Amino acid sequence: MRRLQTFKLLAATAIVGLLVAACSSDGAGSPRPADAGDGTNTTTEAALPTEVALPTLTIATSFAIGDLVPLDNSFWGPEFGYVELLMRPERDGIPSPWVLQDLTSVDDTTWELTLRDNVMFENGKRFDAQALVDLIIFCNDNNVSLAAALQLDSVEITGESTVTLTTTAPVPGLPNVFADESQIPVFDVSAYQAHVDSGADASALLDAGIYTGPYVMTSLDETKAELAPIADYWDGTPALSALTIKFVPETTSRVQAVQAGEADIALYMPTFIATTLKGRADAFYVTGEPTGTTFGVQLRNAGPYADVHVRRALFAAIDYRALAEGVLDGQAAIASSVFGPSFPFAIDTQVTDLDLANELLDRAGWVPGGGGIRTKDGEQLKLRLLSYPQQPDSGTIAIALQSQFDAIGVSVAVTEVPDLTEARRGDDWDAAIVGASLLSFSLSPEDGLRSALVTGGSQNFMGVSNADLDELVATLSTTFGQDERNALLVQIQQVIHDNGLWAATIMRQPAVVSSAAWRGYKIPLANMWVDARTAPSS
Amino acid sequence: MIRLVVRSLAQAVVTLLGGAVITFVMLSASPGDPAERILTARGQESITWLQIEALRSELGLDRPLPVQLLNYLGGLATGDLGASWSTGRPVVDELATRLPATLRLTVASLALAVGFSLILGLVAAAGAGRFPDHVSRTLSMFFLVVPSFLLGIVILDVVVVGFGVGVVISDGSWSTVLFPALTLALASAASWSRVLRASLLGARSAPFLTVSRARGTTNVRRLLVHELPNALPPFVTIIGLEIAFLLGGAPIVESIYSWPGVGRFTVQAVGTRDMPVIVGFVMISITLFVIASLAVDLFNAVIDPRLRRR
Repeated sequence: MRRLQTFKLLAATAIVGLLVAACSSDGAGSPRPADAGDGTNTTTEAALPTEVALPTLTIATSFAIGDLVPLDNSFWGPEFGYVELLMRPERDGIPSPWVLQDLTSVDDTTWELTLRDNVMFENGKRFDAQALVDLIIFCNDNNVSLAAALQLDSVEITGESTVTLTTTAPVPGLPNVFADESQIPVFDVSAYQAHVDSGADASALLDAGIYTGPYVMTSLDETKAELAPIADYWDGTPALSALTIKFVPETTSRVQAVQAGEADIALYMPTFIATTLKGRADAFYVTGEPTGTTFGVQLRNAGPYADVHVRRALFAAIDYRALAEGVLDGQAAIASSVFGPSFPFAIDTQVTDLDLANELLDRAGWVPGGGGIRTKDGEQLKLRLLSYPQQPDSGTIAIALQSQFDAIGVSVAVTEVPDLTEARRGDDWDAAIVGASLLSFSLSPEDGLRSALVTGGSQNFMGVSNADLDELVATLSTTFGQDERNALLVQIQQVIHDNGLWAATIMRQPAVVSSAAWRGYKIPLANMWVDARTAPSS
Repeated sequence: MIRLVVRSLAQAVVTLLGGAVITFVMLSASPGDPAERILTARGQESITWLQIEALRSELGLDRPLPVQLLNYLGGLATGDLGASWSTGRPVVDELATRLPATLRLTVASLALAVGFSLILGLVAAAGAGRFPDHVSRTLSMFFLVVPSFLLGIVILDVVVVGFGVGVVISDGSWSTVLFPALTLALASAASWSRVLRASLLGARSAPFLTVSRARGTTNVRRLLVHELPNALPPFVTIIGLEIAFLLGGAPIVESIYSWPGVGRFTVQAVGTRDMPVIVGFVMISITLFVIASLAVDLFNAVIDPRLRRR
């Protein structure tokens, strides 16, 4: 009898448990944002009758923000509106003042930095000349890549709102260094030092108010960050009443979060998502203006591809229009130059010309052989082309190139490798599709050229060694005048083209997935997803 | 009994050590530069060679592999799993932060799996060879052959996005646990129900049940009072052993449902080759499996005196 009671009790417990579990997720746990009807989501506070209802924004992104420690994780800040930089990246690659009011080159090694008089840290302190000097010294001492780029000699206060900085060598790219999110985030060094001295956990920085952005982070855990607007922000009233950033590494989950109303915008969208969302009314694939070219073709300077004729033939055989409009279904723009057309120095060097491609291969001694594959001295012209899964479009482009190169008699074998960098360090490859462009975060071409195409560059896996190019890039890195720099960059592009050193396959359009309310979202430059003016109508 | 416990503990230690070494060596041998992956995982847009070198030095990746392994095993012995290469925080802290969510999911899926398997197994045994048995078998086969990731995707697409029930981005709380737990539980429930059915039918052939039937005991009473208690040991044994399986299945289900648990964190760690986190997860899985095996051994020894004498 006791056994029967025990089993009855067990059975009842199981049934009750199931019912409780079922009821508990009937949607009650789904924090779907209230829809104001006009397409904007409103918070309870903002809905008070005496206040104007400001919209909220929830973003689903793939990367988690670890903490607010400057130099470790603060590079997320400029992207989500809680950290600012001294200079702001611009579409033409020439940064404009952001927190600084002005940045002037006095001579080759001297710069004058002028401060605005109304920039405040979240903790209420003013961002003054002393704070700027402290900031530059701290970052230079603690950031090796900044120290290498800045070549700082001295920095001192020379006026109430003026700081003079000198370098040990000419650094014409200094505005771009100041506009790079991984170099100098603007923060209150003294407040941060006090935090470090206190021995408190990094989470205490949530209350330290060390940054200057329009939004301040109020909570942060492994799943999301919540931010609130700064009422007296120096550059106007922030347009959102609340900002939430959810960390969702899975691409499809980010899209579904928008479809289910759990997020307004999903970031980092691969091109294929556009196809899956066609005809849907619950989420939209929103594209922006391309800033630079992407998916460059790198050719290893070895074997048949050490011959400039062969390299140029391959680049002439690429159907740039077909890649952008057909292969990627119009989700990319045609790459007619190594850099994008928004740069004043860009020249169109990438032209599809199959006749030229065939002529160049003939001139190199590769003649049509059996099966349409060109041969030379009994050897077939084969190309081992690498793609990588982290950039799914690289595989799509590689397959398209296989077909396009086949038209000029080059046999292409596409291999997807788990680590493209590691694969390119070896010699079991001839060509690779590389997602990165030659532009830095602040859209400066200098760093990319130096690392990928200059002799001995850290990313020069191709083994490029061209004396003309080396000299031109060296001259560029010490030339200040914009016209002179543009002229040098034109020459550089011509050398790249004439020697078949690099070709960009497409200009990928930056894309996000948005809800109907945020369909008009203008995708900003350099992943600066949120600023003080970001709103549904913007 | 003491000898059994000592022997099981010794096996557990060897298993843990072997698991740690094998995982470490396999990850070290795989291609790619962890420092570069970490900088990429942290979302760095432009990575310089100087940054990579500095990080390699900071993480000790510039030291010989045996030294790295010895340092790791030394830390392991003191309960230090090192720091996550991606976040820079101690792995123990990272896993501890996410463990409650995974335990919540495991407990919920365990409860659902036990509940469903009891229902399916009892129904199948009660109507053995007849319609209820066929229905139970069909359902079990369906849940066994449909992969959990497919089931999860369908639930998300149809139920959550389509009908607006539940959430896509789970917060790891009890209120969002149903669908992830259900997805994780169904395959286990299916296999467990088949074990229970077979055990119930085996118990039914016992002579005392003939007497019970002759005395006019109802079918339900015989099933629940006489057959089920006798069929429980193999059922409980397989549940004990498969708790580790539930945890092992968590990475897939947690990733599908954005469940903020240890499994999903480990999947991300695999992508970035965050070796300390991966090894930490493997160690937890091995530990759990070893504990479960030990518990099952002891449980069986308690209920079966013959095992105690070996």
